[in-house]
Amino acid sequence: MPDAVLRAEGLTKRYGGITALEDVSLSLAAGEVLALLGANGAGKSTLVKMLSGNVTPDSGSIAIGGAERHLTSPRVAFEAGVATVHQELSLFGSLTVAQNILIGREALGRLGHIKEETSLRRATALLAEIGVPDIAADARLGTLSLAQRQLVEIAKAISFDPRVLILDEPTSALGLTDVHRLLSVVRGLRAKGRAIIFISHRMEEIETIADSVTILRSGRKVGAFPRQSFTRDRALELMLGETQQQLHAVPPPPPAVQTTPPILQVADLRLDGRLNGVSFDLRPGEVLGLAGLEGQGQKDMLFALFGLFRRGLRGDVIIRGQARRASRPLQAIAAGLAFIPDDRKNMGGFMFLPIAHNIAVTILDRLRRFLFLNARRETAIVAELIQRLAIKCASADAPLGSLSGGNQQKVIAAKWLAFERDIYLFCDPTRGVDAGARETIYATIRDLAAAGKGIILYSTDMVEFPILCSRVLVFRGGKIAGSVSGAEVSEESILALSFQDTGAVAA
Amino acid sequence: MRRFRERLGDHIGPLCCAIGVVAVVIVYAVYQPAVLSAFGIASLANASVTLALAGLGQTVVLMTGALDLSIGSEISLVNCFAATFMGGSTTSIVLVVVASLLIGLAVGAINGLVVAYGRVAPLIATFCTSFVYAGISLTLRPQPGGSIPDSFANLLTGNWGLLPFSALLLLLAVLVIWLPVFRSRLGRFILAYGDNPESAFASGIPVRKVGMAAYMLAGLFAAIAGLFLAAETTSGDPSIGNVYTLNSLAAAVLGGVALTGGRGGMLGPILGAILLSIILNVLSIVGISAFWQDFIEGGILMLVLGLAGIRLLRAQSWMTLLGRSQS
Repeated sequence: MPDAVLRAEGLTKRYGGITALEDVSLSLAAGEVLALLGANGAGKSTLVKMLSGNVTPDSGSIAIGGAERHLTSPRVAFEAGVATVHQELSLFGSLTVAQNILIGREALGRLGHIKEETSLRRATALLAEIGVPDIAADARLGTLSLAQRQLVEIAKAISFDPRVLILDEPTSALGLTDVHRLLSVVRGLRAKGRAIIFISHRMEEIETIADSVTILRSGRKVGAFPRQSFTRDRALELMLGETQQQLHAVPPPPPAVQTTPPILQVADLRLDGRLNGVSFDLRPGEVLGLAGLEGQGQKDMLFALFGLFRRGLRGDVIIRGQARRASRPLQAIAAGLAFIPDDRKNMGGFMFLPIAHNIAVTILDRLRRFLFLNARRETAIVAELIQRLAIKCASADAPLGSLSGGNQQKVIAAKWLAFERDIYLFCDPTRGVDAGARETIYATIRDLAAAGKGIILYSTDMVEFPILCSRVLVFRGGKIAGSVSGAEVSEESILALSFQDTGAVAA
Repeated sequence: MRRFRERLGDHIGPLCCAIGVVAVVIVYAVYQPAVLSAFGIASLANASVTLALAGLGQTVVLMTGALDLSIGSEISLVNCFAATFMGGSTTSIVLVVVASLLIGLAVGAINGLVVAYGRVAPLIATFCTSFVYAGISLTLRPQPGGSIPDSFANLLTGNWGLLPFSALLLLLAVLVIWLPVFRSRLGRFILAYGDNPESAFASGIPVRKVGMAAYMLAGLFAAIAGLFLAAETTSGDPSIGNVYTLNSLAAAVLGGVALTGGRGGMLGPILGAILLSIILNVLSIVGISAFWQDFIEGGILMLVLGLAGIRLLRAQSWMTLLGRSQS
């Protein structure tokens, strides 16, 4: 394309040893909508952050309108003509719509004072231009709905008069009517000659709006084609790539026998804006996976079970026949739950305390003799767990923070193994964990299941579901969109359910 | 109706303070009718204006989501400087006033550098700098003393009928500093930065400069407060500002300024300062011992700051609740 508005060549970014993006190139013409597609962690957000000036590439170049630009900050990106609508909106709840749209670019009077009237007029005109005249420019942003805020964010991006507009999952939180409205706004912008990068997990949207589709997987560009040759099957195939066969070596546990009474029953669980009526059973010995695209409620589900939401939770959680819905972790633990979090630093462990203290923290009651802790028993229990989980450490007195991520995670698992519970909630337990520790954690999960515990596993790494889970629930929009069990559990089936139609989006 | 409730929500702090002020003044006047005389009003105004100025300074920083524990020391520093160097001639008075304001901006800039550029937590950073400023004050004036010319003292503390000059000083500070700042882009940036720092950065707002400017403005208000105290007491005292650190926080919070940033105006802290000053004044007039005064004052502060946290109890997730309390 000789008339490319945006041309990116060989963009690469590494964080430590992990490659977030490798040698990705793309070009975009005026009036073109390019859809960016990829599973979680494929590198979409890294690419977006590069183009919006939030991340600088290790290598590669970005040219806008033929001139190479170094997008070193959001401000530089705006000036270069790239405006981005991020997933986390860049708006201010306490300011008005007009103040939000024109922040930093207000019309100033002779004394340097902001001309509010001019701002209001300009904002009103911008809102009309993108086709949403019903949003009042003087309304407080905090009073608007999420969909309206999304549109305000677009108006803000348009106010920079950008040549390239990036929309990062603008529809992920919207209902069908709002999606229609947003897509028609995008169509209007395309007609006015803006080049648009559109990111969405919804295939039907991509089919209606995109002129071309680029697919990323594990930080690489694995496919690009015009809309005419785009098919869902081809896209899914490219997003998945070859599955990691070697991990399938150990067979998943057999599906739980349906005759055992459930250890945990969840009925119509709801949490404002996060869960919209979730029901399922968990049986002893079962490893139940919670899958789905990021932010569809599966993680909230785990948090809710463990009492991490103080209020707003409705519906029933029944553990061994008793109502045990928790509004604080202490209640959940008393009900027999254990929780291994993904955020080791903030929720999992005490980084400056010795490994032994980290492991024994759950069983201090049992270690107590009169007023004091029985140090010898503590040492024995800790040593046994360190050996069982093959935790690599100089000694049990070393601070948790001195261990590798994988070994930290093993310590956090160990603390809940010491304090035997009935149900183990694993929240992305292998995030940032090396291959060796991964195997240990998988083995631990299988052992727990074999011992008749109930396991719920949330993971952002879809590879884990087929090798660990006897059943997987796929979440979408805070609900269970479908479930697969036994031999049906595969990355393909999970991804297909994650991207499934919610109802056709009309053109 | 929704708009009305929204507006009421915005002004609930100042509104409550205004009602409180009227109520306290009525009670006060019943016991002590002289309060409503020209002299009574002037002395109440004098007591309130220093705290109002400190409260305004504190508010600017609070609006960015930070706080300034060095305001009291800044006030003392300027107070000691002015009482030591003011002399008697008009030229020296003007020079010292200008220098005092520059000192306020400078100490504010130091806070801003440490917090915004040095990335030290505001609480610790300003607590530390407060000792630095206190040390300088003590070097300038090991004992309370110094002198302030009558002309300067009368200019700030006199009254014109029922209208105390101190009230005019406050009005002037609002007109010359507060309104221009908050009608300009800087004020908008301060609010936006406090509302959502990540959004502010993503919107291309120069966030570190904004953080620094907020501390400089706080220093400027503290300097005016220090000059006013010099006029009121006609001397310099290295510990005179101490009480204003915590009281300025209380005045701001009482006036509806959120400790979490992004919200606040100038009316709230001013009314909060007046209310708090009158209450403290009443306590001493009624003859409550100094010990109980501190006790009650501390209790009021805890109550007000605690009430400010009630909003957080609406948080859905434990993680947000626990995360927020650390600032």
